[in-house]
Amino acid sequence: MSNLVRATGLRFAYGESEFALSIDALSIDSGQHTVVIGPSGCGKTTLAHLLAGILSPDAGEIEVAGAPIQSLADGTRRAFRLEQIGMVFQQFELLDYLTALENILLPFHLAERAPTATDNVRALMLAERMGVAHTLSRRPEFLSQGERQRVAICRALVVKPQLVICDEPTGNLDPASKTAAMDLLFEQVAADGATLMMVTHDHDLLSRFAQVIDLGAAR
Amino acid sequence: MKGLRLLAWRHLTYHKARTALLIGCLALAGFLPSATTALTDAYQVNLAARGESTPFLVGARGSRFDLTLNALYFRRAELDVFHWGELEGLRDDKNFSVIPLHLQHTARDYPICGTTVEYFELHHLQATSGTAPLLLGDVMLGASVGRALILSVGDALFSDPKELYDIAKPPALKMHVCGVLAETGGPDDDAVFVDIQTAWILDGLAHGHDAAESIDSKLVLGETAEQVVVSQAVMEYREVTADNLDSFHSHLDPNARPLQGAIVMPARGISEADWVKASTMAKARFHQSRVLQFVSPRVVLSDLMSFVFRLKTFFDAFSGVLLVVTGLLTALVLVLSAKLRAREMATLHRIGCSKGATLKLHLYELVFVVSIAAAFALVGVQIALKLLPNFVQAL
Repeated sequence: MSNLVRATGLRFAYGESEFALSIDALSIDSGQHTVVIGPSGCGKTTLAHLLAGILSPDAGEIEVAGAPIQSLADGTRRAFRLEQIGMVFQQFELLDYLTALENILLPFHLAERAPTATDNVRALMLAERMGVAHTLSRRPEFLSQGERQRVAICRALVVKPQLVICDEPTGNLDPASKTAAMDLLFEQVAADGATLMMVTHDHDLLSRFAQVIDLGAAR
Repeated sequence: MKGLRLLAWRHLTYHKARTALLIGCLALAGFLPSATTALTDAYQVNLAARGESTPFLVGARGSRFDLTLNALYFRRAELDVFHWGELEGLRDDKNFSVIPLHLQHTARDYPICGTTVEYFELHHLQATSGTAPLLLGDVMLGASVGRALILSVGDALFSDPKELYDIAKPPALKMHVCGVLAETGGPDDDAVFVDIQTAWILDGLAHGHDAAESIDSKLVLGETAEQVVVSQAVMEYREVTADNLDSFHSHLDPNARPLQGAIVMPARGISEADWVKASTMAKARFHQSRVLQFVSPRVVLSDLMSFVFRLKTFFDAFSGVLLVVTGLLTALVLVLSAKLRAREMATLHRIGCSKGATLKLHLYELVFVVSIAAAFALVGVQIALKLLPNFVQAL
């Protein structure tokens, strides 16, 4: 199985702060489910942002789907992220002025193109599978926490990304909602053949992952 | 709508109050200078057209603005009267044609203009139905009056009595609608027209009643070879009909009959050179007069416009300040909005939105707000222009 994500000699620090992330080598196989754990402040989110190209490393190489992501021009890197990487956040980060369906289709709007019929069908299919089809015309303020996270997952998956990065996706969910959302996420990622990388504090989820990266142990 | 435009539109419609406030402020800031300019231009065109078609006006000494606005626009200003005989010099001059204007009365609150048929030729007034008021007691309606009062040829219109409870004052006259004018878009639409002789009946200076020999002897107070003195209880006719038309007469010297103005225009067939010479001499003659003034409406209206333009300059300055303040407020609202949306923008960036796209998002919002505000301002200007006839009357 080929590596979808590969990082070597990764070094990153926030300005003058004492924090420093140092990873000599990291790889995630295509289609593999990887979890990143570790205590608060160890750099889990920073690593996710480095792999997504949101942050640029001070040193080292990162390759995602064969693209040297930190070497790409800013515009190209953003376009690559929009098309190839789906992001799920702890706070869901839905836009409160859009309906659930418009939030799901947001990546297409940000790419400045109208969603095609196929895109719309995929959005509706995802919403159906995630159990939020009945909420599509509602704005986020009228959704429960669990529904919001499932809409956010639909948004991350709608472009059929190769890599899905979830940053503490269950942090704001009750146990029942968490289990339901994770079941649906894993099911859909597997169906799409996407690679999943999740940052979490939740050790109950570890058994679902093929690879565990413990940044606390590494430090 | 799609892409960033959809996001911009959704954001604006989600924050309705903020958007409405921004649009309102910008629309007002755009409307004020645009409306002032449009109204001033339209006012100028309107004034100039009417002024150009009226070469000279004669009236009693007093405000030349009141004379001009009353004679041209039937503005309700009290004008001093002068007498028909005082125009003798002009009337007898073969270079001039004189159109009398009697502007003292109203009917259902619309001004009654007592004049002659030459007035209709001068202003190119056409009847949509009927004819000009050729007979005593006939009245021709302006287009708006006919519409507003729902009157047509054959209907009756009463003049407004000056003093309802004073029997010494002339009573209301029942006038016959003989015609309705076509729409002109000018002041003639809002006036009614009678023959000058009818206007003098309205003044009480001419009247009709039963012949002296048929009056009840109890109402005859005295009798000489030349005249019969009758009681005030003898009823004067309040309507001119085919039967009593011949009984209408005036006891007043024709030269003493009152007018509020007269239009002086070149006589038919006069050359340009003769007209310039004759009018220059008339101006000089009236310049010496202590009773009458001889004014050129074009000059008076030009002076009036200079006042209007001074006023407009003030409005422009005021609007400029308003525009700057509104611009600053809009910028402040947008900057504050951008700060409040910092987290949203960070999310968009993390998803993959480029900096250019977020800038576009803000720009689209600005374009939507400014476009809608401009549309509202434009509609406001159009409404203001629709109300222009009233605006001109008010001035």
